[in-house]
Amino acid sequence: MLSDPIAEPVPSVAAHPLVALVGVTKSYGSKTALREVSLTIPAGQICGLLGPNGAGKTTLFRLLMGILKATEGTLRVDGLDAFEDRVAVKRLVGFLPDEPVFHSYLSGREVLELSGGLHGLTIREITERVTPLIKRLGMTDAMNLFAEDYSRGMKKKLGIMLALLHQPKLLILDEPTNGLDVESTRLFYDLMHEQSQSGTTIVFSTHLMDHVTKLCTHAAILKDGRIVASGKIVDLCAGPEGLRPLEEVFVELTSMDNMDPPTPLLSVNRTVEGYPTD
Amino acid sequence: MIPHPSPSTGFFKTVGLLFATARRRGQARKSRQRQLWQQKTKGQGTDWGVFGSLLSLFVMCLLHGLFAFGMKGMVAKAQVVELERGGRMVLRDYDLSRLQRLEQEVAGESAKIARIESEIAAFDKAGVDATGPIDETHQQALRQQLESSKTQVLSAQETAGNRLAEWPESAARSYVREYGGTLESAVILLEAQLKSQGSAGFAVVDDQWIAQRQVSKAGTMSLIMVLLMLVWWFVMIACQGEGMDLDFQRRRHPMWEWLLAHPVHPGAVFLAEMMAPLVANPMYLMAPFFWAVLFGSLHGLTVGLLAMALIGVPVTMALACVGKALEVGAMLRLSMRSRGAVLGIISWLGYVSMVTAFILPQMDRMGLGLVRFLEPLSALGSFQWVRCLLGFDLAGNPSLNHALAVYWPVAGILCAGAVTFSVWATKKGLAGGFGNAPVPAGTVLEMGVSTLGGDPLFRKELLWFKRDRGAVIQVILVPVSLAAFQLFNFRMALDHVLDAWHWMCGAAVLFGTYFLFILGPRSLVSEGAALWIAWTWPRGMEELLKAKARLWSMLASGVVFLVLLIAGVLFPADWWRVALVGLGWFLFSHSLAQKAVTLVNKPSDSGEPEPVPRGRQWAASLGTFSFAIGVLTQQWSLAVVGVVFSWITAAAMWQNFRARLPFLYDPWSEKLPPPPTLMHAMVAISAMLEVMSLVIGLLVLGTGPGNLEAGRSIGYAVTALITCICMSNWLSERGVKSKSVWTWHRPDPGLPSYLLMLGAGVLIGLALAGVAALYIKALMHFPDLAAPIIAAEEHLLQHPLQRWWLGFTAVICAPLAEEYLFRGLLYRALDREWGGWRAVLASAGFFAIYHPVTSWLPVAAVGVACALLFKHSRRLWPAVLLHTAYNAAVVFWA
Repeated sequence: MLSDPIAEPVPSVAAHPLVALVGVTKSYGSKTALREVSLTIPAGQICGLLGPNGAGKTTLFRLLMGILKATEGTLRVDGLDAFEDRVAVKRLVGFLPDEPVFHSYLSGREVLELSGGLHGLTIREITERVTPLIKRLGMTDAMNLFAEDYSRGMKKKLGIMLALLHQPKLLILDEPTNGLDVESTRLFYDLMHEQSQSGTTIVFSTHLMDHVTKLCTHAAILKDGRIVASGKIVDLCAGPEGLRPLEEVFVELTSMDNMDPPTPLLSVNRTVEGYPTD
Repeated sequence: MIPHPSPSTGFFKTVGLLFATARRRGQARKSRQRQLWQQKTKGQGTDWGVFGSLLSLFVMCLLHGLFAFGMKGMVAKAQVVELERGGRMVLRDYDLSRLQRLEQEVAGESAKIARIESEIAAFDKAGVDATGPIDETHQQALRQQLESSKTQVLSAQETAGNRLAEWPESAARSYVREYGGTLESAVILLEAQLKSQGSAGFAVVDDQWIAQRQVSKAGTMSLIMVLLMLVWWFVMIACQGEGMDLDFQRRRHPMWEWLLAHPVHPGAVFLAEMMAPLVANPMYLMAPFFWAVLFGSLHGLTVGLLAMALIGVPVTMALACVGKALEVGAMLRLSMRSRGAVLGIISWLGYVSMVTAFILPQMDRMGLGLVRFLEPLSALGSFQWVRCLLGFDLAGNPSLNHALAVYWPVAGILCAGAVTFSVWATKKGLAGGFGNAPVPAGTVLEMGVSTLGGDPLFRKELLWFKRDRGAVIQVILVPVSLAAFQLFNFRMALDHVLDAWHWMCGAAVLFGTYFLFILGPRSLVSEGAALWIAWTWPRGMEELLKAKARLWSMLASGVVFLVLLIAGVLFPADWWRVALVGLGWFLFSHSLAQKAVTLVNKPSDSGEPEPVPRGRQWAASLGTFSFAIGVLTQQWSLAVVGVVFSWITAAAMWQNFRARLPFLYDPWSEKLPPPPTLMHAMVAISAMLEVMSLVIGLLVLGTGPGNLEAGRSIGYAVTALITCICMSNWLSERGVKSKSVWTWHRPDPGLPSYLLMLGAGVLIGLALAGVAALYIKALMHFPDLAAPIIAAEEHLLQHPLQRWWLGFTAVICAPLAEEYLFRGLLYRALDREWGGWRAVLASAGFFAIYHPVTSWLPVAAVGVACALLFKHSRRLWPAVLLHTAYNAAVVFWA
């Protein structure tokens, strides 16, 4: 398996937050996608990011990757500023986009070699690292075909391999199980568990609540650019009569009708639609 | 109960439905555009949409008309070639008629001489035979009269003969203008032709080929050109597609995949699809006009209109079908990678054939060259049948029936073939693109490790080039065509490409420059949606773009070096000059490619790059063409300036680009790079020079041309100081204190060392002045180079006051201003960008090219010394002292 010299679990820093967001706001022109988001994810934990479409999940991921710069607030990954130290951050982070697209003229193996080469790995290192993974994901035959011709699930698998290739400390996965078949989804969760146990921190977004309950230790729920709830799953789901299903909590927090008190979120919504508050 | 499946819709009902939908779609689009326009202008705007579509119809009319006349021009050129093959030389009308007149004059005078001589002979004979008394004196007078008129006529004949002998020289000028070559060789050719055949050896091209008798007599080459031009027109129309622009992102996924999910006849869907461009594209709408012009000019208006309806309409429809069938075939039967390439090539053919149709009638010599190149085709047959295509029978008599007998079957076959092909392709289904193609051997990391270094990015680009057939379109066809259209502006120069080595080299450099400048901003097109991978690499974007720049400059150099090689073979005497241009290109091209790459923008979702802001484009184009123009006009100093300037601009653009690059996906957060950047230094220096020439011009205008030197000195001093003060002010407004320009951010070496450096500055300045004196002495051995120096020195000797003005500027103002701009701003910014010796040499080179050519070497030496002294003393003052000492010594002592 992926033996990792960097992400070796270090007991002393287990509680140290690998990802720390403080008051992060991101605006695109007059449109505000994220508002004063504060969130910490301890090292070695798996955090599920939940939220309806357009809640700002992808913006949050891009901010973490140093692709976007926060309008206000700070984002730190392992103590490094996500934008100012983006080169160093990218060495620590593996990323899987929602819909991975690959160069039409490269085979799966060549995409891996290209990406590994740019992370400074030699061809021998790349082969050593990915061969067991390729076998597990059942991609052995596909590796010599053009990546563009892959089905959606195969593209996801290749994307996951790319994200794991340089053995990152933090994995950012945008809807990773979208398009995977049942068996591959199960396999993916096994992989995530193993990564987490070897010390890797994982943030992923999904719409599947039961997956979050099964896999994650933490969860954060985004709604219209604000974090409406975050923390340990057990804390989130705690109700007066014991644990409630996460889905119930989610629907309650994100649906407009059940807003109680409704004011803050409604005012946020207005600003998004172009009525500046100030 | 299972419901009965609905019966499939009938063929013509389907076609009718789809056409009605297409019409509704078109109408809806138009009304929506009108609404948007009204909303944008708040109801105040006039709707020019109608005029716009009328204008495009008019332009297309013009295009087709021009095409018909272009055909005529090509036939005229074919006639030139035919006449030449018959051993005659083709001249302008005026030259030939003048030759004929001169010949007649000479012949007339000769006839007169013959008459007088026969009269004299008769007279003499009469004298000898005379039996009666002869009046001797009268006889002698008569005889003398005859002799003198003979002398007169003889001298007239000589004059006429002389004029005839001079004729080749005057005719040669227009001959050279028409066909190229040197004046001397043209004179020799014309003289030889005149001697051997007289005026019968020359001919003019009959402009009236369109008159039917000419077509009936037309030679094989003319008929071949008619045929080729018709084929060209057919290709142009068939490749048009629905839009008129250069559209490389045509829909790659067939819309009718969805349509075919309905219970309809596929043939009906295709027929409706095929007819759609006819309605959408004004090129198709106006295509029949071509036939009206062509046949109208040959047979008169009535036949022209008939041909428009009877030939133009069916042929255009058939060609629209062919175009669509090609598209259908490509989409259904080819794999994704080939599909883009084939559609791209079709689009490119349509666009290029359209644009060249506008251009070709104006390219006389190139057209002639083309006909000469195609001449061997005439061995294939007599091509008499081509006459039928123009509405004649085989004997050359006008007959529209013959034309119809050709075009109707052709249109029918094309139409039926296109529909059959489309239906067949559909029945076969989407075969390509879904089979997993195996990858050729050799992977990213394995390929070419030994030859091209270990850069995986660069090899990825090579693989793209090798495997993706669309790459050829993106990287070769688009820039080559756009660059070639730009070269059209230089066609006067290009007509002489074969005349001299520098024209050829200049054209190659010009082409390469355009090529790179167009290719650079398209750098991210090949990444498309896969660009996200580059974000996840540390420094991925920057290295990706540098790899692209490397590949682009290699590609452009391939083309340029090929042309230079040809130039070297054609002009062997100038091989070393050609080699020098090659060296210049080698130094120039990489910087140009890097500069052009900084114009890149994030591609939009459709894959096309977004437009580049004007200001940035302007900054990147600074001095871009100096090298090419320097080579074309043989101004070598300009060529060197172009190379140096390009390197510095490339560095400046990259310094700004690197600051901008992280915001490629986040333009909302983008901020300008902190001053002072290299670009700031360059703008300040350039602005100083511009303003200075203005100030000097005004001063000299006010005080008279005698004060040029004084005006220059005062103008320089004033402008330089004002520029520095303005720049310093501008910078301090942006938080850059002038102290931080005058000192280098490094630990202070302490006062003693600083004083030592000041002394060293003076000593080095004097030493360099000594070297400069020796250099000037050496220059005196080259009279051409020495002349301006001697002239300036003499001027100063005559006007001693002006030497003081010069001294004031050179010793006090120039060192302060130039050290502030060239070392304090430029060199330091360059040092941040490149560091080390490269920055030292480049800043010195930039400093040098702002001086007269003769002083480049010593000034560059001063530049190097000042830069090093600045960096090592951490202060600007030692460099200022060095500069002062040097200038003082040169002005007052050397």
